[in-house]
Amino acid sequence: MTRRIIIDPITRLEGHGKIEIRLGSGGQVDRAFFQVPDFRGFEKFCEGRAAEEMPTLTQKICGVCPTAHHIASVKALDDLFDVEPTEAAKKIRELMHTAFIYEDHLLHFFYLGGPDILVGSDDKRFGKNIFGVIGKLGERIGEEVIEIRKRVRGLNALVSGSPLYPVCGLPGGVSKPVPEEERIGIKEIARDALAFARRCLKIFEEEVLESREYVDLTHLDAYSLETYYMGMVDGNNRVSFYDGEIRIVDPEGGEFEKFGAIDYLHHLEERVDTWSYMKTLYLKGVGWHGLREGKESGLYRVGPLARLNASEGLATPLAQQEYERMFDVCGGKPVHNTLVYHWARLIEVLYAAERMGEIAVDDQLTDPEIRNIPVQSPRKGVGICEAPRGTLIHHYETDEAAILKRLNLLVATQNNAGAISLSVLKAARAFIKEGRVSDLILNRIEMGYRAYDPCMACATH
Amino acid sequence: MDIEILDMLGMKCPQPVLKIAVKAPDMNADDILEVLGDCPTFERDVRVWCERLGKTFLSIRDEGSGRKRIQIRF
Repeated sequence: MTRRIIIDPITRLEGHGKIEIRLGSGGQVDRAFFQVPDFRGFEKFCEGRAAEEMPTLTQKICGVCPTAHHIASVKALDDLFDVEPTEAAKKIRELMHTAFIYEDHLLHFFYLGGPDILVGSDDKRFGKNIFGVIGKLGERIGEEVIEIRKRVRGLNALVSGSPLYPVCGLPGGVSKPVPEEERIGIKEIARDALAFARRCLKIFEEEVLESREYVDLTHLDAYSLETYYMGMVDGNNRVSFYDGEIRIVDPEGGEFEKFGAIDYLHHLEERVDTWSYMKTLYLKGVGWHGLREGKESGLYRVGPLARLNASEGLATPLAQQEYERMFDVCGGKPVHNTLVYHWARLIEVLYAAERMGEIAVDDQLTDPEIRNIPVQSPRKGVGICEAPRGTLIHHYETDEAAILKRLNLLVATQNNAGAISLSVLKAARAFIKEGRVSDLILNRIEMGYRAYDPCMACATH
Repeated sequence: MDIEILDMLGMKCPQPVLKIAVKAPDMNADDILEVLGDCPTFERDVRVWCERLGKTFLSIRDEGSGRKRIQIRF
């Protein structure tokens, strides 16, 4: 008789999900399912609405990453109406998007997945959260995390019109310029964000990299997955959050494909699994061969580690140093160990802080020319950006009155869906022996998906 | 010469200009499009749109309470 182990709800992630593990008669793990039980319906009920409503409507898909939806949506509108944003608008959008990624990554490191490695995976189950982190690192660090996230959110409120749900994005630009008198405040926030980012990497060094347990875990096959990796890059193949081309590397690190937003359908394919409302994405050029790893499988990964694997560097000096160090320590590119996502995430925090600082001193930031007026009749538009959890694609098709006929949203966590399921299965097989489970074992299985920082609300949209 | 009217009261930037852009292909040379709006940037946006597209910003009438009526010649 099949025995089932169900973890419901799974915790410390955005949205709702559950894991079902099926054991064979000998207590061995036969199968494991990572399931998202919600259905949302945004792609359907947005049909018939005006395209220009999408930046403020689709961002309600998520309470954690609305800024990424706002950015992808407004870029889709740029394409739809064939209008190039002004340079000031690009800087304003990039600043708000970069600031958002900064504070979102900190949320994961201190509140969600980070406690697994900061507090120690073997500690009692109720200690692996922000309070456990504060208990270990001290109250001061808790105060600093809250303070810097609050200030960065404040920066986004100033730039985007709201601390959580931006209202500034328009086809061809943004609705409000950044006043010159605000520049000093923005520079101060960027400076302090950089100092805190460096502090986070020091904490990671002392508490995680020097931890025997973490190093041992990273060497386990349970947390390793040889897949393709995808991320957005600039003209020099360096990581880009706001704009660029999509680059995919194979499990050996060689460039597999590179394409612009408009061509995404030639490279990515969605499939429906009967056991979850989350659709799974795979590479069209390789094909779907089930939940398998390796070069012959179309599974690929996105998000912080995937972006670093898929790129050839970072455009800011301190982040570039950490990038090189990470690959040196891990034995070269690409890194397949899922737990290294945590390190890559902090390197992106450092990059985001440095990039905020660069934009803060850019003359174009306060240029009052913030919008080009759309003059073309719409038909089709695709917008892509990098959300904290990976590549996000909005695709709209409208009639000539800009009323939506069809939407296709490929959301970051969907790219990782297959890999997450396989990671959960590998962890379950590694840690469940003869049918025996404990809180420690169940948490180690959950660590297999938490490192990805999945967003279930987005994934089922 | 035809005169067409677009009532865009209550629409916020950028919707009025988008609606004009969508309507534009239906207009013939010398047709007049009369647009009514109350968005704070309505007048400026329509002026910019006319400049970019080479259309004539023919007239504007302030009807009070933020409402403006603009005529555009194609």
